[in-house]
This record gives sequence, structure tokens and C-alpha cells, in this order.
Amino acid sequence: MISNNDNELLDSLLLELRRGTIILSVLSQLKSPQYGYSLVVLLEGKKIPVDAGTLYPLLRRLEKQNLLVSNWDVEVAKPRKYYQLSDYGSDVYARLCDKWFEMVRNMDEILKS
Amino acid sequence: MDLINRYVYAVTKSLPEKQREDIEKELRTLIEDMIEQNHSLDTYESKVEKVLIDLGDPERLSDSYRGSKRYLIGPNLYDKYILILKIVFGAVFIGITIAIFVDSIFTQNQNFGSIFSNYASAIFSALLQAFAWTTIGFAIAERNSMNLTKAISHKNEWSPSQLAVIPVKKAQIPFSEPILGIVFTTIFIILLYSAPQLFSARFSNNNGVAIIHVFNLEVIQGYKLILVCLFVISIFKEVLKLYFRRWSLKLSILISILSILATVLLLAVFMNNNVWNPNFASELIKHTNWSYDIATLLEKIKSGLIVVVILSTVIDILTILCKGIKYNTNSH
Repeated sequence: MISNNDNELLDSLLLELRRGTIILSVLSQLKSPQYGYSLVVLLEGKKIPVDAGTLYPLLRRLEKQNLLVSNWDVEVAKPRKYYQLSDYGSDVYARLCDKWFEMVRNMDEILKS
Repeated sequence: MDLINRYVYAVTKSLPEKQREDIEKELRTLIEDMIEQNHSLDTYESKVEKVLIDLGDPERLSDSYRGSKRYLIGPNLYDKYILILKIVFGAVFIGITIAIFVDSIFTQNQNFGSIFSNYASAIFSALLQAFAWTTIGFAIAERNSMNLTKAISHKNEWSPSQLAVIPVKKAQIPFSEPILGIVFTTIFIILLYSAPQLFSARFSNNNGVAIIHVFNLEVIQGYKLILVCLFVISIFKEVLKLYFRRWSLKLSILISILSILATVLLLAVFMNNNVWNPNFASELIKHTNWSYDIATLLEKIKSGLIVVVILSTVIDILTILCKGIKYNTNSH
């Protein structure tokens, strides 16, 4: 029997595990410009669900850290803010990816042994 | 539509002005997008509701937009804050009790009820003041605490070589020192602040009791802000001692600067001739039969007081600096 408490604990551990991957997932999708909600849909389609309430503030933070650049498209009925990787962001993303693959290899090794 | 407006307002109301408009626009478009994405046959209202539930508590969203701390006094200082509040409250209590007690002994024609109601209201307002100023002091310290602790204990890049030598007994600041400092400072300032009429000479004569005030009560009212600054600086000084608990060069320099500041403020009050009751000498002569030149004597006492204040500050600072230099084994 798995009690409610165990489920809650598992959920919170999973949440913590996911939290570390959100930034990498977001950066990976921003080689071409996306606005916040299109990114939510895109990631959901790839089975990486991210809350809009988490993603929107995150996009701003990444922009502030100069990883993303943004511009408003105001010529349509609904004004949208598009985000895209900056040059600096692309560079950081590439290096993060390397680290990620290395981490995956190492994790695989200790989990499977 | 109204719910959306309220939600957007709840998220953006406490955000910085600069970002508010931008975030508001973005948020509105997001909510519309999310509603359009819902192809069910629900009414518009229930779709709105579902979207807002999805987005979650507006305050949490607001917090993550802000991304910065949102408290007045953080966990680092909280313990010290509570400790200081307790000490200050205790000292205020003692100070006011002394003030009212002395006052009621010398004042006649007062019944117990009026003394008690005076006492209660004086305690209440003094506690309120002490609470407010202590809190404001700590809030300011919190805003600057990162820089301060870094400056004193080089916390930016830690390495084992920075581990402080276990202080010899003499390098430690005994717990009682700052506590006593706070108690005396609070009592002294609370008396000057809320009961300057107590500093007085009193004579019984046929008409009851004559009271001659040392201070000019109206003028000293105008110095309340300086007294508050003096209080905050002195308490801050003691809190630093409580926080670090051992002498180091930087701490002793910082404390010396605060001491100088406090002394300057105190002298700014005492060296102003208007603060003193100009009729003190003449009234004293009127009520006594002393033939001595009281006015000159008082002048001497006044300048003596100033010399004592300056001298004791100088001695205090020299002692502190000596300790700071002698026990400065913090870093190599």
C-alpha cells in the first residue's frame, strides 16, 4: 500500500528533480523567437510540462541575466513579447548542454551499477 | 473580465513601477491565450476561472516576478532583534517606572488612580516608541547587513585559513557588556525623551513643592529626533558587539566611529545653551538662602560635564582600539 503521504513526498522530490532541468529545457527551445504561451504549448507537446506561472517570471529573469533578448510584437491584435537566445545565451546553452550530457552519463553509471 | 482585471491587479500591484506595465500586458495576453486554448463547451466565465486556478495564487506569482526577499528583518538578524526588543522593553519599563515613581513622590494632590493611569499611558507610548525605533533600526541594518558582515568578517570567499582563532578569554566580549549598555542607554534616553521634567531640584515650602527644572522643557522637545538617532546608534553599537562577540580591528574601528557619532549628537544637545533652563540659578537662589555664586558654579558643572563626556568617550575608544589591535587574530 502506498499512502497519501508517500505520494506527496514522491511528488515533491520529483518537483525538485524537474526544477533543475527547466532552464535547460527553456533555453533549448529559444533558438527561434517564442512568446511565453507558445513556449508552454511547445514544451507540453514534448512532454516537458512547465507552469505558465513558473515560466513567465523565469523568462524575465533569463532576460535580465542577458541570456535572452526580447521584443514586443505590437502589430497584431494581441501584443506579444517574443524571447530568443542572445549570442551570450547560445554560448552558455552550448556549454550547459555539454555538462548535462556528462552528468547524464555519470548518473546512468551509478544508477545502473 | 472583471476577474481577470482583479487577478492582474493582484499580481502587479506590489511590483516595481518600471516592470508593472510590461508584466501586465504580457499577463493579459497569456490569460486570453489560455482561455482560447480551452475548446470545451464551458461558459466563458468558468473558462476564466479555470485559467486563473491554473496560474495559481497571484501573490506567489508576484513573488517569483519580484525574485527578491520580502521581509523586514531576516533570519540572520531575527534572534538579535527579539533579544534587543526584550532588553529594551525591560529597560523602558524600568525607566518609566522610575520616572513616574519619583514624579509622584514629589507631586502632591495626586490620587492613586491618576498616578496609575499616567503610568499606564506612559508605559504604553514609550513601549510603542521603543518598538518602532528598534524595528526601524533593524530594518535598516537588514538592508545593509550583507555588506556589513562581509566587510567585518571577510565572508566573500571562504577558506579554512580564515577560520578565526578560538578567542582567548580576553578577546571575547562578555555578554553582560552590551546588555548593560543597552539597558543604561535606554533608561537614560527614555528619561530625557519622555520625562525631562524629572531632572530637577525640588524644595518643600509653605505653598507645597517648588520644582526647578534643569532643562528648558520646550527646547528639549525639539531635540527628540536627535535623541532617537542617539538611541538607534547606541543600540546598533551594542548589537554589533552581540553579533560578533569578539574583538577584531575592524569591529573596534566601526564601534569607535559609532561612539564618536553618538558623542557628537549628545554634545549637540548639551552644548546648546538653550537646552538648559535659563532661570535655574536665579530660582535656586530664590528658594534657598545660599549666598554662593551659583550661576558660576553651574557653568563650571556644565563645562565639567562636557569634559567628562568627551574624556570618557576618548578613553572608551582608546580601550576598544587597543583590544581590537591586540586581539586581531581573525585573519592572517
